[in-house]
Amino acid sequence: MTSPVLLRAEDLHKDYGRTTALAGASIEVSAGELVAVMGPSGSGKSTLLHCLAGIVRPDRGSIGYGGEELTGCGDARLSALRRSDFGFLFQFAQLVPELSCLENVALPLRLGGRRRRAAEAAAAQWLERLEVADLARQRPGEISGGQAQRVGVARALVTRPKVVFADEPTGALDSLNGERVMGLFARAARDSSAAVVLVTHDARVAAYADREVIVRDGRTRDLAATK
Amino acid sequence: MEVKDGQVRARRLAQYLLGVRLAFAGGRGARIRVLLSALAVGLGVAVLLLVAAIPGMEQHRNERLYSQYDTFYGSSTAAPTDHSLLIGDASTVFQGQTIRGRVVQPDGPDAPLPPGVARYPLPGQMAVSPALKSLLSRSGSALLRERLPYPVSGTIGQAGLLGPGQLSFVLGSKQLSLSTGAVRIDQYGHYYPGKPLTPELLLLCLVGFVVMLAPVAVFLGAAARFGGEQRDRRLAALRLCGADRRMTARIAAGESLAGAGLGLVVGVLLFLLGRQLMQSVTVQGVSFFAQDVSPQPAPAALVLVLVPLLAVGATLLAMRGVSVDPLGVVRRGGGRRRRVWWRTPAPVAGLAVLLRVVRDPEGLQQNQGAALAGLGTVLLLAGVASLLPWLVGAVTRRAGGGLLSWQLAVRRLEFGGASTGAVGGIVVAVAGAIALQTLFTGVAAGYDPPPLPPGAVGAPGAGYQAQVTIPGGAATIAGQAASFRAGPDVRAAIGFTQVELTGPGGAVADLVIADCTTLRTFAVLPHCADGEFFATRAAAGGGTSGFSPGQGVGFGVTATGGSGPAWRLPVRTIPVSARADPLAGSYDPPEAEFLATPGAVPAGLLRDQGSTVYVDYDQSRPDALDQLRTTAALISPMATVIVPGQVTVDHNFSVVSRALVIGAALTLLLIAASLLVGLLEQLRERRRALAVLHAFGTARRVVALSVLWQNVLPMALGLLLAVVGGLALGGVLLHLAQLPVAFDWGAIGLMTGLGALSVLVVTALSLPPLMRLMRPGGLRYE
Repeated sequence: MTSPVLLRAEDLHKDYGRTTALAGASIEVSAGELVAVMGPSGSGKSTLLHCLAGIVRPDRGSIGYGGEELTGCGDARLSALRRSDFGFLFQFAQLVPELSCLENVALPLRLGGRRRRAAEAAAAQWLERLEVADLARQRPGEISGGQAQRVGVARALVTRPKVVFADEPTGALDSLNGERVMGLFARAARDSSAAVVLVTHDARVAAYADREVIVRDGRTRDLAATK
Repeated sequence: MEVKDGQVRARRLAQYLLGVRLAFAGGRGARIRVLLSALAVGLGVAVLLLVAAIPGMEQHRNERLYSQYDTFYGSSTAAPTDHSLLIGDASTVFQGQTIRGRVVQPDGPDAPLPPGVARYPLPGQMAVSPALKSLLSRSGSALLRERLPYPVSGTIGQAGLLGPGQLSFVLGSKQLSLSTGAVRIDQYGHYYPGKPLTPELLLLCLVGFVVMLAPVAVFLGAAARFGGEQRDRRLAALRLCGADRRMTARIAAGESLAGAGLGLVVGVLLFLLGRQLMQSVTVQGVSFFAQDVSPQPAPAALVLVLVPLLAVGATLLAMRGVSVDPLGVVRRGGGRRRRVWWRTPAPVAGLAVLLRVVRDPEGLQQNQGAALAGLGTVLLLAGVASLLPWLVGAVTRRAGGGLLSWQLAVRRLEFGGASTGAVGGIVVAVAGAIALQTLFTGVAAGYDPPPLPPGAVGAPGAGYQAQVTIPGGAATIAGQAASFRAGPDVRAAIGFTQVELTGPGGAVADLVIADCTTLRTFAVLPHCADGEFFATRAAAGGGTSGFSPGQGVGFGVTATGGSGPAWRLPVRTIPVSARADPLAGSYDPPEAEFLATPGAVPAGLLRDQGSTVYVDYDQSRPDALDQLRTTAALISPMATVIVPGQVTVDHNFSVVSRALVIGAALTLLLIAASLLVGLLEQLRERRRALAVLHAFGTARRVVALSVLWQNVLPMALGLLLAVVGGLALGGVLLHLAQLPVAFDWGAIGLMTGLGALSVLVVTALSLPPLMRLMRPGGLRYE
């Protein structure tokens, strides 16, 4: 049975000054699906991800999410979606250096209004699932890049988002650490039934995906399902 | 619905608290920022609390002043009762400091005690204020100890003092009488409606506070910017986790609230410490008791609420140039062209408001006028400061060429450079200080004594420089003059009693009573022996109508202005020729129509008359005047020494003038600290770029020079604006105070020089971290 389409972008255009980043890109992401967005540097894959996540507003085109047109949403609605429905994972974990790992993971829940104790209890479970429970009280500056990225995965998934946007999540890690993080991330995302939009130029990382979308010169090309 | 509202409130509170948590948890940089903010807010709170305490200080001081009033309203004819006393003014001056002195003699057991005195000092003993006690015990106060040789039997408490620094004594006596200058009172204290501050003092205060607060605001701004990059990154991460702009603003506000809250504590502590210190400081003879420096409750509450809010506002304002997005921070401020059109209305409006007040200087006494003057001052100062970024932008656009270091600096400045904001504060501070100095110079000039007429007492070439008036000392006048002549720096002294005779029809004539030697100073006497009486030819020839030998006259003038006791002019009157200008142009010489030796006047009449001693002394000797005063006080504590032309306020004004320069220097120090904080922050943010420059082979000297130019250019332009703005404001304020416009170029040069010096010091201090940051290690990505 085919899963329903959760996120659909059509004919996205985005220019940065005279540089064209997207020139008619389109993509569909189904619930629970892991889609790898690949392409050479400067092809527009990160811009596509940012547009899909509502971080960057496209100049033209539409983005539908669960029946809602994201291009017309204001900052408050998009922020609310980031709190409840979307999760993020970047090359550098983008953790708040002042907060402990546990507090970092609990942060999205607390911003959503969850009480501290409940938020931290949920966060602790996620740290355990990602095998970094022992880092709970440590600050991001005190842990390695691979550990920080696993804390980042926990933070991306703690709200049980419907879609996780990951931009080169293993780009700053060595291959061993990268595979380990990616394995944990893919498994945790599948266990939570979260769809994942994964931007990468690494074929080994793309191998975790159900489907690959190639971006070149701001346009997308859907490849056949790999698995 | 209520539950939902409660949840929203709780969520918001949690966001503020998260900000507070982030402020303290953010490592060394964040902690420094919290501390700097706390210091800035603390300084602001302390200054504003002091401002809020001023009306109370004024009120307490007035109350103390009113409670001290005694000799001014006493009666010289009232009869003694059990609850009355005789009191005389024994105030004196020692080394330029006024010492309030009272001689007291209770008429009965119920006589009211002088304020602050627990019991009447016995005759010949005195109660002294703590400040006088301390002054008396100093090694350089031998002359004062000689002047006030009385045993100290008590202390004058706070109730009897205007401030802790007041020098005051109450001397017990049993020789006071109404006829010798004392008055009778039956209570202390008298209420007079308070006088409003004079316009010039009001303006000094207004400009002073604006100038004091400006650097604090600048410092606050610098503190708010400190660690800005880290904070922006932190906020971006929060945005990524779903914080919307309002939440982000609340978290940022919470962060600055942490510093502001701590600042409140620091401010209150600084204020408490400051008011304790104020107890030990006396400026222009004015000091305050710590408990009198209490802020009014309503303004104090306003300060405690408003300052933290302003601190939060400053942080949010510092963030206005950036847009915190989930992907990071987008700086919107970089490279924008600064417009002049919106910057000019403020100074122009400020000047217009001030000129409007100039047209109605009396209005300054009313709240509205004072508020307008304050508003005009703020607008003019802030407006002039707001012109600086435009001026810097205009200059940098046209000055891109030249040395590499210059080019780097100019390009950096085009992007707003950290120093422009802080230099804006210098513009306000220096312009304000120049205006203050200008106004002050004008006010001080107003207090300068008028030029002395040639030959007057104290003027070069005058016969006698000092005039000593001794109440009730006529009987021993020869001995008194001899006492002065025995003094170390006295060249000559003559003593006589001057009595105003009242003839029929209200005619008056001066009678001088002295020994023959002294009388010969006033007239050419053919012969002279005790008991003889002389009339100058002007008097004898009818020049003074109504006075003829054997004529009944009033001897002297009573305290109420009536004629003194009846006396008959001697029948045997020797006509003599008066000498022209007998006292060689000295101050207030008697007309001396009649001259008498002491034996010619009944002793009973002489007893109650005062005497005058003219003294010719060496004014170049530093202690000579104090020596004279001591001699006078030993003859009678109530003797007064007048030295016309003596600039008694000179010392005090120089204190205020010095205080202004010190204040300006401290202000500049605070701003220099802000400048340094901003510069270090900028260097830290740009360490990668600096390391890259070094890796390219750019000499450290070039980068160091570029940092210097980056500071020098805004500072030079800022000082230029400050001088122009300060002179304009000073000129207008002088007009406002109706004083002649004149500038103290020395002080202006000094303040401008201090501003320039602060740039060099800041640059020098920023060099070591700059050199560290330029190491190739800076290229390493975190």
